[in-house]
Amino acid sequence: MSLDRDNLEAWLTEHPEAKGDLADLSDLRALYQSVSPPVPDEAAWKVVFSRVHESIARVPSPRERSPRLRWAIVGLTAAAVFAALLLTRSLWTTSIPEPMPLAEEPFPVVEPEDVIIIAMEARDVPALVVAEPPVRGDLEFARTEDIHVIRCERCPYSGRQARLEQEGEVPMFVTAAVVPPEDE
Amino acid sequence: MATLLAPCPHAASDEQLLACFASGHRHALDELFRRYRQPAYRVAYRLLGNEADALDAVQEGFVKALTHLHGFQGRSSFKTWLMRVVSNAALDLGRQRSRREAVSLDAPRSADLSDSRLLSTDEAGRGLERADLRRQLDQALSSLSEVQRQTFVLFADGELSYREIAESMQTSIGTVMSRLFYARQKLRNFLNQRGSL
Repeated sequence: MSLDRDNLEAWLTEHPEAKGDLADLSDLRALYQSVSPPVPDEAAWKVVFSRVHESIARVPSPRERSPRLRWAIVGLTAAAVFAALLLTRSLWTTSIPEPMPLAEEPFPVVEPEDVIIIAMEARDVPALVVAEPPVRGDLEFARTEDIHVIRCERCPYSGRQARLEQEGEVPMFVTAAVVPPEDE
Repeated sequence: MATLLAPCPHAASDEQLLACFASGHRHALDELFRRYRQPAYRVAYRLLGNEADALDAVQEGFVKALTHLHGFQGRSSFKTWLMRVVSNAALDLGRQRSRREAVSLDAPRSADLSDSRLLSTDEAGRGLERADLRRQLDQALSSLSEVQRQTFVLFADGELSYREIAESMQTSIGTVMSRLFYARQKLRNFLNQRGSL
């Protein structure tokens, strides 16, 4: 736990802007904890506990199973496997079957809400999947003639100016540093 | 033939209590239940919004956690394992009873109102304010996605650390931090719009 704290403090030292977020999260937690749910009375707890006790008591632990029952389970399982082998004997073939392709399972890396697209190249637009797959209906992107730039101000921090590129397949806003005019 | 069980220590750790429970000491269950019934209930209540459903989820959570201990395997603390099972049980129950939950979020809760009727006028006023704030906080929570809500509830009501939440939800700490970040943003926006902050 102290290692986690040390790591967190080190990370916060490098990212001071995140300190406010962390304090805000702690405030929210305190707010939720200040309005705790109504507490059940002891009688309600006793009912819940007795139900838990009864439900668990109905599930026999491995210790509680008798050796005779255990051997019976093993015997029945073995008999079932043997019967299954005999029944499928007619299906046995001498040729080696083609290996079945392994089913691909999706590997969850992040949730959809964890992803925010900040920027992308114009050539990658056709690969963009929006919303929950499968996408319902056609996706329609803005065409060049759909966009009219009314006003565009220079970024006060970077000094960069955005301009609309209309030559490609899709309209793009690109930014470029403004070069001051040379003194003549 | 009667079997003599080794005595279970009086101030036992969770691991010792689980060992006692596994070897047949049913009273170990009493102690585990007494230790964790409150945090389990807070998590379930926050995900379900009413006492009866929350108690059902706690009951199901304790039964599943203790009858599926092979899934726990001691890789995390028992509390973390229990919170995972209880929160999943609460979400399952919430899905089954979603229609009833939608009604209860729109209307004032009868339990809240009946509590306040038993109090004096001032206390009732404060009780209603708290009930109103609680309702707004619950509504704010319901605006989150299911995984964000579960993550925030395990953080706020389950009082789990980032690492424990990650273990509980079987994901990375980075994903937990990301979910909490967006949950915080959405909750702030929702509560600011309603003037609750």
